[in-house]
Amino acid sequence: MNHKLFENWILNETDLTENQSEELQEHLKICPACRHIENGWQASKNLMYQSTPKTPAPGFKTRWLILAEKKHQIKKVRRYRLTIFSLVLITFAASLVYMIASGSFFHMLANGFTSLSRLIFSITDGLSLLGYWLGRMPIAIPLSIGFFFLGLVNAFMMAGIFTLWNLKQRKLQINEIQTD
Amino acid sequence: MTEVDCLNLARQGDQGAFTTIVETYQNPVYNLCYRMLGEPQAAEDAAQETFWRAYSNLNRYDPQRPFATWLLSIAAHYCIDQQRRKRLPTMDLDEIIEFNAEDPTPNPEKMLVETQFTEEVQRQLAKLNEKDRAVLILRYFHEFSEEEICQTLSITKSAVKSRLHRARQHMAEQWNADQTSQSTERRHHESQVI
Repeated sequence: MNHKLFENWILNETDLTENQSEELQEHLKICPACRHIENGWQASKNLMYQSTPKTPAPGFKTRWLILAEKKHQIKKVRRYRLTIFSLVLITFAASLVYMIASGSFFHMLANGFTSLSRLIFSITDGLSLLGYWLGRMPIAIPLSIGFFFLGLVNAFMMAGIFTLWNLKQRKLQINEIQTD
Repeated sequence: MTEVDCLNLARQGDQGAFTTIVETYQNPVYNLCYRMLGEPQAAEDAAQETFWRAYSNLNRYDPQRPFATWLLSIAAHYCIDQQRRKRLPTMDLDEIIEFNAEDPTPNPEKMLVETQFTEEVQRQLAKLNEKDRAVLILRYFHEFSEEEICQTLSITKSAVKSRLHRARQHMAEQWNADQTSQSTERRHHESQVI
């Protein structure tokens, strides 16, 4: 008895000849395993055929039109952004090529370094001048200015910490809503 | 207007013509998505996305092929992707009842039986892997031939056959397991009553 053959006939839904069909029926009478498969599969198949086709809630077409409109808008915005980005990129690349080719790029680099060092010198000068004037003032004034700036720094730090905490709380709330 | 006319107009950018296509195919596409995903909202989203993808890629559609096969192939692939991203959770009975309550079915008894069938089928389908499920749904809910399933899911005929074989075996085993657990439960309940 080729058990696998009968199992394949059942599970492949093979078109059987009259003889094969009789053979299968005879086998099902004596083989509980194959009978189990045959009954299980036939019941499942009936269940699938009996189950009514699902239909969407009314207004599917309208909802599709709304979705299509939104997608069109998104596509339009994306295309617009892509165009702007490409133009900026092309302009940047073109000016870079021009600057390198004409040698002005290295001039600009050198000028940049010069300006930066000038700025650093000016800041240092300004700080020494401030130190000079503060040294000539009564001690109470530099002290109060110091306290004022310390308070300002603390206030900024507190505001930063509060913003971070607030953002975290909001994220937690959103997660809770999504879970619900 | 015939389907071919609608498709030609839609290909030229006529969204109104494609809306006729949406109206014609909304039920089979939604049904496939529902059977694949097992949840009304996910099925709705998938069906909407399917139509959008079809509309945006109409120039890739080969008119030699039936449009329904092409459309359902988009839906099936989308649902398979969704399933891979997020494994299908078993469905809540409350959810099914709530969803069916929207249908204007006059006979509550009939509705209950249909709900039971739906629940039973979805429970069995949910335990299949995505591609086996897609093959089975196309074969038995959409009555596709093996050739059409090959085209829809872009797999070979032998793959369709082996997937169908495996899916049928799984469904049969699942049915038998359910029956055994139900009869055990019934016996347990009867012994408690006695």
